[in-house]
Amino acid sequence: MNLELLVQAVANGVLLAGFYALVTLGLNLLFGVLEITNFAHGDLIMIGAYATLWLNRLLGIDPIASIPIVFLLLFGVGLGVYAAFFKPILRAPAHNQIALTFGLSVFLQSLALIAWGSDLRTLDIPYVSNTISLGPVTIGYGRLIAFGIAAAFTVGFFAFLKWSKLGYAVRAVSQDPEAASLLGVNVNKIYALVSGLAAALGGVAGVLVAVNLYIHPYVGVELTLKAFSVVILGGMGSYTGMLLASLVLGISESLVGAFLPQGSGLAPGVAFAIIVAVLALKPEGLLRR
Amino acid sequence: MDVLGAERERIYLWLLALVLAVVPAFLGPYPARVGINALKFIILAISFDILARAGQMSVGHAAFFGIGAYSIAMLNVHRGVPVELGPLVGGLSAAAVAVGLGFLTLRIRGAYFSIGTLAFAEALKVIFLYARKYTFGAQGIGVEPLFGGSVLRSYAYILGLAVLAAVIVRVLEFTGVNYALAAIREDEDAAAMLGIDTTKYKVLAFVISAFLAGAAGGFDAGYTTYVYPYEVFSVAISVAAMIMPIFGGLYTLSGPIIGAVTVYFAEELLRKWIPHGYTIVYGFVLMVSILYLPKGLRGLIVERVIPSFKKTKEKTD
Repeated sequence: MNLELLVQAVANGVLLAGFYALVTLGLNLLFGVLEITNFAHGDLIMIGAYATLWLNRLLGIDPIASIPIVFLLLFGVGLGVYAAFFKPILRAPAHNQIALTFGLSVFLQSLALIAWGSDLRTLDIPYVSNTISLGPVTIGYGRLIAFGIAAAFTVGFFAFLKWSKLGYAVRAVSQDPEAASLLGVNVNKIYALVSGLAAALGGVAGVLVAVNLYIHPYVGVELTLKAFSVVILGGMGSYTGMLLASLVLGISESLVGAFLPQGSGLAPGVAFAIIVAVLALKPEGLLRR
Repeated sequence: MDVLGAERERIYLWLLALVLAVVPAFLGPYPARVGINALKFIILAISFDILARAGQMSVGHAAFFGIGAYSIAMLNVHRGVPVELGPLVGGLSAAAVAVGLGFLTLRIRGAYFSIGTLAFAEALKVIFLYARKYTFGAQGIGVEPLFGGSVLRSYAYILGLAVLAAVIVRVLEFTGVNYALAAIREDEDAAAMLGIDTTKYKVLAFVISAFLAGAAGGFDAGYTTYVYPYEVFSVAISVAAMIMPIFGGLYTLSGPIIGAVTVYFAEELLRKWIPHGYTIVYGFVLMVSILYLPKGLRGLIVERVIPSFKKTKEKTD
């Protein structure tokens, strides 16, 4: 085995892991507080990616500068989704929640297909293809930017959860909505905020999709499955587990892509293999909330 | 007398449905094709409903449809097995996979099970794309036409399979398996406490469900003469299998049939307006059903339409 190739693959995997952590963050947050498994989370990311694309094509806004706009846009979408869909099914049986969010996923995909067609689109930003050399490894700017933004938002979110008063209320509601309500927390408002925030974090992940990947209507399904593999491996609702599992997914995908024959074709299968293996062997995941 | 009358009414209704199901075969090639597809979706819808009766929501039902289609396609191309055996070969292959998968995954519940089914369908797509030696990858497999391309015989075949699916549901209901499944669906722990072997019944529902979906796939391979990974393992098939029984009315026999026919007709009409993205109707109908039609279209007809009709009749009497 080529050592240099190995180091390079691991470095790429770590960068990828940062992106996967942000992709998963919103899904994990929504599950942790509302206890809804959102099958449409990836499709919200897809909407974020298209928003970035059109902001760039039509108004010439740089993707990084478009982050606040996409964040606010998707926050609004998240609030709308909460009012229209999540609120009525908060106490519904799990299978109804799954069917509803799956329906939302199909709806958003079809809408994107009708509006923008199935073409693979890319954002042409000159600086993304630049590379930087750090000792033995060469890293693309695009991946580095994605990792930096993902890390900033993930850390920022944890800080919000830990130190802000609102974050304190979110944690209280996630532990016991009734007790929080008795103590004067407006649970409904917290649910709406969390839905908005989950979608907005997905939107930022969408910006990173636009920077590094092809944009197409089905990009969301792939990301939903990757996010599921991360939460299943890490344990639903656990943030430490999420970070660890993102590393496992990112690095193993990168290694499979680098070392197996036709590895780039098999790399998408890593997430499915993780899901099937964890569900069969250790359904509770690595860490429990 | 009244009970017997209601029972007779039901039998007449089923006979009427059967006659209606035969008619499109003789109306020309396009209605026959629509009829065959509708019957195929009826089988898929019934298949999904049987699993749903055990409280399991499959989000990747295309997995079993695809296994059914690929098993007969590969046997036909590499071993010369006649495509007429498609439903049997496809059904048995899917059922065999379901036995193994069932014991592995049915311990898990709710969202985890659904995620598992979705991942399984997507994983199969990757595997069948990768194993080019046997599946020809993204190129797909061309298969001999079913009954040499005879539409009428294909129609009779799929109608027979749909009747078989309906009979299986009735057998489950009359043998009491249905009660065990309902108990598991309502509260699995309580059902186990009452002495129901929950794993056994869940695997049974899973295997029967997989058999029917695989049989539909095995039929589809010969009928469309082409098996293509992006088609047979598509989200569109998984969501069709899911939306039709939910929209029609879960845990009944007529519900999935009503749902399959109405949603498929709506899709067929919409396909002319928007050739790509017609699946939007699936997403929309699924959300509306969950939010506003808890018992589906069947529930609406039985609880609202028929009583109001009877009321007006009484008034005029």
